Amino acid sequence: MRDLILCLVIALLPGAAFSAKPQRIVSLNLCADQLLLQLAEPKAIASLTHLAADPELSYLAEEATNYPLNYGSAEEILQLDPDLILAGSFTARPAVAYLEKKGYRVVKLAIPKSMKSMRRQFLKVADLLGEREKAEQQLKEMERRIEQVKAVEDSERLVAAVYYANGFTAGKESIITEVLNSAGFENLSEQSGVDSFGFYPLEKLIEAEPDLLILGSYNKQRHSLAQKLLDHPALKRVWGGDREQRKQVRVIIPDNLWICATPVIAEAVEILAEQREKIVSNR
Amino acid sequence: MLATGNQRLIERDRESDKCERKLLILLSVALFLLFFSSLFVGPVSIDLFSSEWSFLSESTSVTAVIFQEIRLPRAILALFIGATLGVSGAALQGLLRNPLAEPGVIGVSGSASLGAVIAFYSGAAAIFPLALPIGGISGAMLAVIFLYLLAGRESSILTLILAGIAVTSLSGALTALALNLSPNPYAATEIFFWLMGSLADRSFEHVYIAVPLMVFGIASLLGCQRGLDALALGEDTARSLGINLNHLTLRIIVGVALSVGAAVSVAGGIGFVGLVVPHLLRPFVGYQPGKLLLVSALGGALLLLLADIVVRLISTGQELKLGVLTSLIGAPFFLYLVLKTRRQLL
Repeated sequence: MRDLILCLVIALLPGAAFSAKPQRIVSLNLCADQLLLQLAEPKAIASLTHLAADPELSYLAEEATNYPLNYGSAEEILQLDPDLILAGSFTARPAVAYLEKKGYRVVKLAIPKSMKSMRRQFLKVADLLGEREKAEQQLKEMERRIEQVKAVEDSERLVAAVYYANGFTAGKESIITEVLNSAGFENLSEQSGVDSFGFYPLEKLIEAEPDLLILGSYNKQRHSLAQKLLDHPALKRVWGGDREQRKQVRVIIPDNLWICATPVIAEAVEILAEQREKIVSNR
Repeated sequence: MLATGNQRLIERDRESDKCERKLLILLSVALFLLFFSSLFVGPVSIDLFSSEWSFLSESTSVTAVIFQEIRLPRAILALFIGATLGVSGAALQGLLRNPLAEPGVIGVSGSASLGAVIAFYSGAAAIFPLALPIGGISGAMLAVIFLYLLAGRESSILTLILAGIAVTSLSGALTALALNLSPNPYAATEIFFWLMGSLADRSFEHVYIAVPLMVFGIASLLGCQRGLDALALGEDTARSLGINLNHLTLRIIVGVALSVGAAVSVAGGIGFVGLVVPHLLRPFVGYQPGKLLLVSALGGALLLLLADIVVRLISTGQELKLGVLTSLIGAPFFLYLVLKTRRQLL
């Protein structure tokens, strides 16, 4: 893996006789969209997914509206004749399989489960785009912001739980756990036994009484039974508006901050740290 | 004619009265026990003995919240929805004189789902909570009226079932369409809830919007006892006994639409309860469709409370849909009834 990156770095070194920078990049995955918007030169982006323009999911939704958007079908992609396709490991699979067979250069991005793998992926994509410097800068900025938060951390262990539509929660093997840890929280799922992403019964969540309840924000204004669960009166009663009486706090963190693992998660860490201070000072 | 009709009614009354009273007591006791047990089944175990019942009064403990906000509304909904389905099945079977009539089989539940889906996913229910049961009731009402116009009281068993299949398929397709048109990515997968039904994580919000309407519908149906008993003797006899058949029909249509529409709008379409329960209880009330109403309401509540307990006990992770269980029991039963009434069908 390291060798591969090294080779790429050498191949892409500035001053090389030919520029290997891809010129028509297509993304088939929301998180690849984010990486492109953060790293690639605007003129090199040929197309992003339609999700990139949804402000609830995509941190850079406004920028995304400047580009042609695709719905992940092979037909759309062929027309664009891309020289690099970024796809997720699990998204638009039939299209990806077809495009690979056709000989297009497809790079599949896994879902990073830790800060370390997030950094590695960020640099890998940067190398593909020939933007290593930019990436290193952004990573450094992220680390600076997270360090700042850590500086004010005290020793008290607080527990936070993330609760998404349909009663799903992010488990211990997810970057969410590391984000929570960076802000001074323990992820409830470390106790619950959910690995990366899984179902957690409402009753169990209430029984565990985490100090901070973080609710998914996506599509708050659109209607589904899945998201109606987050409005359950039981949740309101435990993490209710009456914060004077309760030690627990309930917040909604915009999903677009940490749905994808990019340096933007520093902002999520900051918001969470702020909440932590509130909880500690209320005690 | 009038004299013999009355005579027969009185005789049959006497035969079944004693049996019926015993049955009512038995059902009520069982219902009480099941309702009580239902409160103590769930992913979190609430200790029945050591908690000193603090979960009933104290408002801050987590057990109190789980008990009051999750378990209690769930048990209440199971009780009333079960009663709704049981009594609606019995009333429809009596009115249409068709042993296979049931809200789910003849498409009333499916149509109610469609109405509720439109009210919910359009956002109307978020602005005005009662829009949800109103949507369900409108859907149910349309289906009952359509079926009655098409099949009526005198048609063959087969006509009604076929019309029911048509209504179910159409409303199922339109429900799928409505869910696919929703901009919410979760909507499409929620067709399982609307087709199969569930009581998972319901709250008192659902109790408040649906139970009063169900009570009204159930009461309307229970009031049809005399009319249905008389109708069992034939339309002419019923008329001679002073029963206004149009009145009776309207009352049953409104009662079924109100109760089933409200039930489906908060719990989805739970099938076959209205088919199984009246059929099992019929021999105990001397095969009198009027007397069957009350015991079917109790029996329906009993069956649904039981099914809802079993669903929670056998599920690990996300809960099994309640309708999956009732259909697993009900569908073979339906087949058995079809085979039994085959001679009539052909």
